[in-house]
Amino acid sequence: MSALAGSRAVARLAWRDVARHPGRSLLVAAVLALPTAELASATVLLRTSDLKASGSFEQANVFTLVFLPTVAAAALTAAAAIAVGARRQLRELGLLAAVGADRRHLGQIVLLQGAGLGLVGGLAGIPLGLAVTWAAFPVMRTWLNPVVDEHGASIVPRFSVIGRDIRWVVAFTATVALLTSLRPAFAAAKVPVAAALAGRRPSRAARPRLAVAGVAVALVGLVLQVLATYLDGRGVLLPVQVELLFLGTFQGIPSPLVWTLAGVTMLTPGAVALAGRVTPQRPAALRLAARDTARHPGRSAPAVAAVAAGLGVLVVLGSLASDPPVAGEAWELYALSQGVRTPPFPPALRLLLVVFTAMTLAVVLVVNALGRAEARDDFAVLDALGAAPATRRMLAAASAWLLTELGALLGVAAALSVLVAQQAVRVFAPLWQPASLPWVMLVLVVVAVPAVAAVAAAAAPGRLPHHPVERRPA
Amino acid sequence: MTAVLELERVTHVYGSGHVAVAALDGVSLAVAAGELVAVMGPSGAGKSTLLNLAGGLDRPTGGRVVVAGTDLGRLDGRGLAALRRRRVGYVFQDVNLLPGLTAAENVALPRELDGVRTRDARAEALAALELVGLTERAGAFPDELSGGERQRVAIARAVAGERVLLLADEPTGALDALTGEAILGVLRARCDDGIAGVLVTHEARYAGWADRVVFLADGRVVDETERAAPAPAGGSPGGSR
Repeated sequence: MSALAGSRAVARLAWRDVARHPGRSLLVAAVLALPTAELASATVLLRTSDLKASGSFEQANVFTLVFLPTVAAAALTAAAAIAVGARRQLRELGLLAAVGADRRHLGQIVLLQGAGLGLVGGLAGIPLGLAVTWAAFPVMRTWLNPVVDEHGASIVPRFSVIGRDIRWVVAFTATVALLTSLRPAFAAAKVPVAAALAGRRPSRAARPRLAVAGVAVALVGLVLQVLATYLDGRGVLLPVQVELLFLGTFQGIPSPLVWTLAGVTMLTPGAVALAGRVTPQRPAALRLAARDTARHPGRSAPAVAAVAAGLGVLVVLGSLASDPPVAGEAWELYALSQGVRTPPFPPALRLLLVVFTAMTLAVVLVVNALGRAEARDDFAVLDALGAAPATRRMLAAASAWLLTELGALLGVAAALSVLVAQQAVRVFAPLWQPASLPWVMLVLVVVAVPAVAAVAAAAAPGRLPHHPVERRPA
Repeated sequence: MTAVLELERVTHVYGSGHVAVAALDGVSLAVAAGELVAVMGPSGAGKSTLLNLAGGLDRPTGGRVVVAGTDLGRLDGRGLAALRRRRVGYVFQDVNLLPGLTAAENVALPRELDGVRTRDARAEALAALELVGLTERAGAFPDELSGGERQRVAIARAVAGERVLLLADEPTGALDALTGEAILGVLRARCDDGIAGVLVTHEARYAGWADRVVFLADGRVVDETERAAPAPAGGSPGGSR
């Protein structure tokens, strides 16, 4: 049988499922439109700005620090949505296997759905990003480093789109869409047929290797941070690519944080599994939420990782707010080069604080909605058992709180370790400086943000089936 | 008569160590072409496991399963999938049809997955739907069909092409008695056409349509009876017996 045998049937099945679940399909497409829009916008802005004007890639660097967590959050949320879709298709996938679909067919269906939607959403994000940039360009261009001609005269930046850049954005979109769908597709390809037909989810073995790899990657981030601070102290100039990806800082925000957060991402499946085991007997809502979180690592682990990424960056931003000498020093250098007065806390960072808080809440609410959709049968059973409507809200709140709290703790751990590594090299001794830690931000992240997520999830409208424990149509 | 399905001392154990449970324990069974065998027994007796092993959905822990002369133990995952596309058909109690495909598309699906051109697969599907009396409903989606019609579509899919073995797991479980009898009539008719059939059922009256009834308990064959009299006369209400 050729590799393409049955591809038309597979494509048709994938498309029909996309059309049957417009809400989930729109979610995946919209989530992946966001980073593409951001990237398309950045291509215009960064091309317009003179990146060499300040002696370092600060604008590119801040873009990286905003962009990478956004991509991570978007891709992880989309992966969670695709994984939920694949799990809800479990019996259909089992049925397909029973009529002769092999692993390749099953994987292709999930891959086509996820990658196709991601690509469509991503491509839609390009004109969206360009349109927003065009509309806001008169304001945005004031944030950019001015470009000067050979006579030293300032050139007024103009909005222009370069075709080659957009081709790169399209390539990026296709890559992210594909990567987002790969894991759910592999999982679908490996589904045990008999178990799938019986509606039993395949059990997932613990993966200690992933956790070990996560710790290793996080440690790489810390080592990079120590190295970056050391080289920075000695005034060593590095190639811009190295600075951008490994050792750069923007007003004190360290690029190695991205590495540490990547390591933390790999720890999230283990963290959610642990949450399922270490739960109190009461309250019941929290116990149920923890067990549900642990039972669905495909959905919960990406959500926790996305929250950790957003809140990790938020904590570092907060450290700048609570540590004016650090922010002031870098900002002062930049400001002097620009000939402007030094504000205490750069407005761009305030904007980032808002962006990352909103992003975190959005991720939690989206994943919570996915969880509610997935647990519809469980809710129906609860209703049949006489659970009050408030119970459902408590479950939603507990689930949102748990996901956000786990993400907050992991993100805080990553951010603090990077900050301490930074401080350790900067001051040599003492290594630990409690006074410089962003206490207010830590309290906000660990206590307030999960609480807000819980309240928002409880307040979100939910749907109940009219007939509890109804049988799904064929 | 040549056996289409042969199970030789088949064992299947779920789990391992102190949680190991033997779902099947040394079961032997042979089903010839044109024969319909009913498998009965209490819940947990191993009926569905037997069906899963017969169709290559699962692998036995011990023993041998042979379908149309092919030892399933010698096939890899792709080989087993190909067997299900070409030689073995399934009918389940529920979730039989893919909701996004029409009746004809559902029936044509295994053939299309096998690389047959869409047009040809559809022609075969329509022929199979005609056998179960559902040609006019070919364009209907599953949620537009009644429970009995859905099962007939599933049977059409299970016999389309060059299938030699039809495996039915409680196909009447979600249907009323009259519709259930009609479905059994359709199954019986397809077996009379030369396909070997295995029917798992809890209901003695449905087992009456079979040539032979095998009783399972705790994973073992505890009794076996031949049909004393012909299957219910006068054809089936919904079939072409």
